[in-house]
Amino acid sequence: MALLLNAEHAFGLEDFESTAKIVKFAIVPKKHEEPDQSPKEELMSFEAAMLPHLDAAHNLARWLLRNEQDAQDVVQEAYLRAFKSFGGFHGSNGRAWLLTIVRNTSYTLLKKNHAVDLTTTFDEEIHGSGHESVSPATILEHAEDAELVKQAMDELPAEFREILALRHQEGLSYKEIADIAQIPLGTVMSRLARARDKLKECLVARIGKEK
Amino acid sequence: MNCEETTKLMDGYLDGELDAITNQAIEQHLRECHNCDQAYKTQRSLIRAIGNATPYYKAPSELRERIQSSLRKEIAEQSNGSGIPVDARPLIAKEHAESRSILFGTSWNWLALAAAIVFAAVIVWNVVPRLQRPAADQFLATQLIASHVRSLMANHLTDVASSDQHTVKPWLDEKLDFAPPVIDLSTEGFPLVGGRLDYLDKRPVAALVYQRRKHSVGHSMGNDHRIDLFPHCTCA
Repeated sequence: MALLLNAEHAFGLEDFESTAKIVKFAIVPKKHEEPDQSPKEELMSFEAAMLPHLDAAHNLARWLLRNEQDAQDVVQEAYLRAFKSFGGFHGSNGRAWLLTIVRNTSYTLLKKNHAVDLTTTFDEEIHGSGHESVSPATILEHAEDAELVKQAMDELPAEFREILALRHQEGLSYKEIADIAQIPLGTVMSRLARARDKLKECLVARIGKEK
Repeated sequence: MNCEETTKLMDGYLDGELDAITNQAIEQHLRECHNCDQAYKTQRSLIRAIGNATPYYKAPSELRERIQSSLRKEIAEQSNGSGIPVDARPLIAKEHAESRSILFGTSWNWLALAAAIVFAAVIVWNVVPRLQRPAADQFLATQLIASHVRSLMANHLTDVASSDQHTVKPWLDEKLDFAPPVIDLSTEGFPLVGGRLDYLDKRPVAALVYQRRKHSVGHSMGNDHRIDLFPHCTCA
């Protein structure tokens, strides 16, 4: 069919010229189809944008997984995933974008290991009002004990560890946390409040043990 | 703003995430309510303590190196087989060699593999019949020669002796279930001698006999003209 059309066009000189123009046009876009960045250049811009957030990525993964080796594996995997989808990233908040990938990769591993402790509601009732016997001053005193706080935080469910790390260590806004944890903005505040209460309870329980 | 609402919004207030009007309402309430103010101060200290006391796990330097090398490996694999821009070659040259050495790793180019399979299939398709064919063809050729020689020995060169193609052809047509073409080649120096019936390759065929000076030339034809492949079978 194409051959037939070309043959017909060839009869008139003007038509033939327009065919020739079309052919030329068909060749030029081929060159434009090549990526405007070489893989090396893309890697350079990816590293420039994402490697500054390596500590944040590692810190989040380390808090979520509670294990140094897993954290490193997850961060490496997350960087690889991020690099593959870097072409689709046009936002300005590279840190939040990267942390979302780190978070999702971490949860994939946690779920694989059946280590997702998302059931946060069940024991809130049990530990509900334990810390009234311990005075706020005593809690604050122990809250400066880094090792004790770390142990208490490691006891918390993943979503509490995650939100405390994002807020208190990265200093992220509620909006950024909502994006990374994929929860509504309104949930961020209530979850943070619950996470802090739970941390307080865990601290009190540890203080009680020490006594 | 009452105590319940203030308690609910306390964390948002401490994190500085509330709007200015709500902030003012809470501050107003804290000035009026001692209990809530006390709870606010305790929570504020706790939040500060958490921020100060929790360890921040910085990434070890080897993790950075691991990531950088895995990313380079990734782009080496990505461009493996596809067009690699010349300026990217030095960077990935090492990884390229490495991914080749693990041939059975993940770096298989599936398109190339598919092409190789198709190529192999084409070779098998074409070569195997060709390997088998000579035996069959050779057998047929032997039969053909034998038939010609036999016809000479018994002085049974032709069943219908005529130099006229229009005599030979109808005679053959009558005896066979197909119509062999009988061509006049006398101008080329091969005058027609006659036609004969033969039995070759499990079917009746037409054999035409032409004269070349003192030699006679047998030319046998099946209904699919396959035997045309062996038209020159000369004997004294």
